[in-house]
Amino acid sequence: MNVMNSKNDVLLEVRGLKKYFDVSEGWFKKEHKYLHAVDNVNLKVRQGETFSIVGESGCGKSTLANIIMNLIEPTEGQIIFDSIDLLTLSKDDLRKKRADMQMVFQNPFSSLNPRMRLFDIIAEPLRTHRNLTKAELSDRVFELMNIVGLDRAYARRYPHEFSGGQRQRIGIARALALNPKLIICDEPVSALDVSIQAQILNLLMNLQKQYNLTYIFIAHGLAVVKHISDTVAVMYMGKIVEKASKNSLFSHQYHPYTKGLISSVPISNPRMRNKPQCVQLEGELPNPVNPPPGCRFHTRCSFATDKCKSEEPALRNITAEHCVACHFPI
Amino acid sequence: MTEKNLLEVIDLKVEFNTDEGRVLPVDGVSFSLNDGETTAIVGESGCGKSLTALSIMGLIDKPGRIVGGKILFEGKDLLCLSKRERHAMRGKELAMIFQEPMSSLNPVFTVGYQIAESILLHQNVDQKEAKKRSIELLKRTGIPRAEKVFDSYPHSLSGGMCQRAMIAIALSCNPKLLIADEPTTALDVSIQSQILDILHSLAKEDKKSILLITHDFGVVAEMADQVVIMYAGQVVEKSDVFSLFDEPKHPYTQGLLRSTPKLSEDVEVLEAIEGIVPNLHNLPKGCYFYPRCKKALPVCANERPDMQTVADGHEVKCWLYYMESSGERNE
Repeated sequence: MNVMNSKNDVLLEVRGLKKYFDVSEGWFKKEHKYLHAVDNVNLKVRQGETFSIVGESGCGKSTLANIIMNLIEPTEGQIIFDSIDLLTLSKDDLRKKRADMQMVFQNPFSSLNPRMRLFDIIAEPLRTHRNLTKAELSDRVFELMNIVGLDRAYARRYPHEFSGGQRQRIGIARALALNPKLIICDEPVSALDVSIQAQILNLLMNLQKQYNLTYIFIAHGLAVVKHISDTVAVMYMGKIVEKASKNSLFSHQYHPYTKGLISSVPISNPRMRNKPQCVQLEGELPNPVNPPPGCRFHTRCSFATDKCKSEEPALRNITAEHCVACHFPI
Repeated sequence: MTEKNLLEVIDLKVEFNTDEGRVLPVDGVSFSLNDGETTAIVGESGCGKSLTALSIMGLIDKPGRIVGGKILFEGKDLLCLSKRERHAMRGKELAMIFQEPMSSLNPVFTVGYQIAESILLHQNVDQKEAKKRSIELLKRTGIPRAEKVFDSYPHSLSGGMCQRAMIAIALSCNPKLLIADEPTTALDVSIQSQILDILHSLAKEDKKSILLITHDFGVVAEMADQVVIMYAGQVVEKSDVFSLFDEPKHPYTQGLLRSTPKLSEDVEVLEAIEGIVPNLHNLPKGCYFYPRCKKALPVCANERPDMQTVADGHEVKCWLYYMESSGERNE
């Protein structure tokens, strides 16, 4: 796959990343409370691969993406992109470096400026970062429109004239404009209809092959993740609980949470509807302001013991490409 | 045997009067729902599936109106009833669960008040009894600490909890038909499977008739007995769930099934349906799916196909099968 021809170079490394949001309450904020949105996350993304982060809403996956993009400042940690620690860069240098990393957002309806024409939306990053002549600019914009499958006759239209799938194509063209190395896709297909989802997924995969792009793919749809990823990390309450290559993760899950997530996806086969679920996820996410002590999943885990309630499991390797944060992996 | 049609929708047409002219977002929809069964209506956004549900509930409002067809509920045509008669039925005989649990509950009233409201309206009981029944309903939908939730406001509950409360409201008067409009779309997978379990037990243990509206074939496979596929306001395929998944007939159904990635199988490239749903103001002359269809015949461009029965209980609106059944295929 993609990983093989790219010599396993690490493009992005995140070390000990933490983000605590201050949610203190009371008179002069006497009651100190912190929401642990991202808690001690480490990951390595290799050149040319698709690294997916999955989890339920509120698990911190979008916060993590925003921190990597430097849209939110982390409380602690390092983000090493292309061998440079982004957090030590000056504002000016960071702005230049950011041209190499772009983002495609979840909601194609709100992530495009309704007052800008399609041409200007795609041209904006080029105008900001590159000094192009007028002719070069329009050549590049039309080239980009062609790449993502938009007719060049649309260039003077406004976003509201497009359907959801077309708007997501505009978002992708804008992200591609500066030939980035890394594209972070934050739930790029979850707002789209099924028939359009497949079009966008195919487009993303083709672009990756063509331009050797690296994706960080944030999603909650496991079937989509399975289709597009090389490596998958599962997040629960700000922590990575399991991380593995796609094949390894989907053939065997060591963490009860991952197992529960995968078995709660409805199977598209009416003859299998009464299959017994091996792990059913009971209850809902606990309050992230006061995360449970020990393993954060123990309140919903049917295998939890006393050890899980007091001691926090560390992420450890089960095989070379599969690690899990659980005292008693299944 | 005891199987009978609880609901029969015949040639339903809903019209919207817009600035650009009249459109028919629901154009001749017919299907039936047997007592105690679950029928799923499947389609993409804008195909008219929600409007069909709202028509059955009698909730179509201006600028839309029902311009044709019949909705027979236990043999009575709902469209002939007066406003007051429909009002009396809503909540009591027919109840609906909406897609967005957070925005469907009224934020200024407690959850308990909203459940008790319909009990007080439709059943002759006092406040105390209504509260008792409401708490029982909340417990039945799997809400822990139901007494506490009874007094809380929707904003303090999670999406899954709100959806359970919505189900409790819908069940409050023991309706004969439950309409669930994308009940799990806004929820996480683990919560989705919990909500589906509740609906499943309603269907199987309480023999409730459910009209399920969804776009997710996983949910269909898990829940439905009968499936209705809609495209651009029309029903394009109707079948029982097994033969639909075994042998989808309409190219649109086939495309939808193939374009969804599945956990159980690996494919290198997804087979997407090219193009987009047609604009209702500018519908194709022939079959509405023709511009996106990979198997289109010359006839598809100009003439609209009729519903054809291809197997027992399996109907499809496509020229491919029209030719087959009337033996004109090799002309």
